[in-house]
Amino acid sequence: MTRPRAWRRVALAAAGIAVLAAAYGVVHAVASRRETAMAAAADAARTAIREARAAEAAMWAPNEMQDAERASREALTAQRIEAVRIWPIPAAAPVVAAYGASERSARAATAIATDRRARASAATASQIDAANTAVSASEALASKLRVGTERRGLLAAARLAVEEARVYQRAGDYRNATARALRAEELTAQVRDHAATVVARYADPDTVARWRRWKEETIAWSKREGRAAIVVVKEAHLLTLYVRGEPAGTYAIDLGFNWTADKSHEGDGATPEGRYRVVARLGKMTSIYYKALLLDYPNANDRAEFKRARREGGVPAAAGIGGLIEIHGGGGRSQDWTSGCVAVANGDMDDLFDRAGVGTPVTIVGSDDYGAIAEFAARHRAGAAGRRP
Amino acid sequence: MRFNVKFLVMILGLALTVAGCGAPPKADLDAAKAALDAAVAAGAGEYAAPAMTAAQDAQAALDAELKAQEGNWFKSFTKATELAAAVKAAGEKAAADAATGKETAKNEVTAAIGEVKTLLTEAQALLAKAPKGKGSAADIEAMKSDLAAAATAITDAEGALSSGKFLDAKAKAGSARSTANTVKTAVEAAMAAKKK
Repeated sequence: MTRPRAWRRVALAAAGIAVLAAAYGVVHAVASRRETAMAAAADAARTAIREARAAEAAMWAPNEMQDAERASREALTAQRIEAVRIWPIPAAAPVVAAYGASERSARAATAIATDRRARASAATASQIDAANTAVSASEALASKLRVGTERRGLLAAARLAVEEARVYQRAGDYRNATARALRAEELTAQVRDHAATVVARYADPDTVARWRRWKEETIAWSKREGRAAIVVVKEAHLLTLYVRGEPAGTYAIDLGFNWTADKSHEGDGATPEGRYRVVARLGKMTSIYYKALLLDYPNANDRAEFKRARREGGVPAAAGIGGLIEIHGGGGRSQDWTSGCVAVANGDMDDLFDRAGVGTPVTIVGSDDYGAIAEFAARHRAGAAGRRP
Repeated sequence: MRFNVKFLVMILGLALTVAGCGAPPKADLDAAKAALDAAVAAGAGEYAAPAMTAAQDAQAALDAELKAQEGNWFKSFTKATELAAAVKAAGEKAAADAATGKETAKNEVTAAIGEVKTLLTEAQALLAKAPKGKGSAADIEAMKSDLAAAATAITDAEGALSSGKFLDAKAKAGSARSTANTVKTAVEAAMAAKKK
């Protein structure tokens, strides 16, 4: 009786061990599968977060990135809780779901950040291009109008701001890049506003009509008297010699460095506008610039205008009215460099010197047409009106 | 009865031992936090972003471990101690990387400002020798104005450098460089044209 009992005990023990081993195997397999699933979900979430960080989602999609990071932290905590529990089989589903949420948020953050960044980059590039175009246009305008040092300084600062914007753009700092580009445009606008004020006369119908009338009367005088007369059109940079009312020669001219303005006082660099006459012919020995035809500037109108301007504080108190305005040689430089005179090339001066004498009328007008400057002034005026609230 | 008392005393002792072992490693956690704070203060977010991210990730792992142990019956802070050490090491690396990154940025900007200053001096000297005449007077004045603006930009760049705003300093130095180069090129072209 003893032996069968012993065998039965051994058999029972063996069966128990087998059952336990089988149970362990099942538990281990299930636990391993769940841990693998959690690890895979964790890896996917980490990869997505890494990509989102590389896309600078923290800057471009902060809310989505925060969601992704928070979900990742929650998932990690849940995973660790499962890992330290006594129960050997982890509850993987909530952990995998949390990592899945993190991954989805991270992918959304990447997509949003990529899109926003691309749009910001394009907008910044466009803003910088616009600023650069505005500065270049104003530089050309300033160069044409020969604006003063103060405005030139503004343009220099605007150019520097554009260059700064480019440095920020290269560094991916689109906010500062845009801010600098806008600053450049503001500075440029100041110069353009000033330029528009300076050249507003060129878009004024009454002024242009007066200039046309002066020109027509001069040509009519030449025809009537059968003599030579000279018409200088500042905007076109052309001097035309009329003989018996017909054009007998047209010459390119250089003007005063502040040529768009009407001369108001000594040293302003402006070429006067008005109806003058040649009062002296200066040959090579007496003229600084080859040969010259001296004009009767200032005439009575200029003196009256100067007195009025001085009374109203429009000219510096110490400044005189100026004088010695000539048509002289030494020109042909394709730039406006004189202190107010009209300069032609020496060959042209020979021609003029031979055909014009003392008493020849010289009419100087800003423009005889609605030219490019007038167009700029009008465009600027329209733009300013459009901006007005 | 005696057996029951002994058994209870043993159980109580075991419970106390388990509870005693279960205290979070405060010193290690404090050290980890201090290292992370130091990294932030050193500007690691800006100058050592990858190292700072690694440190923050390590901190997140530590936080998760601490939270997991909070709800655990049989607490073990061995892993938390290891993770705290990892956070401390990562924080210290981020701070060190930030110091290096800052120094590199500073040196780069200092060198750039020095170069632009030299360039400006050259451009100013060249402009002083530029062909003078009634015709070029206005251009020379314009270029003087450009160089004056560039010199102001360099002064601003030095200000930004001393305030630790290296990107601002770099931007200003870069813009001044561009202006100085433009003026230099223009004057050299004018001089070459004059020689012909």
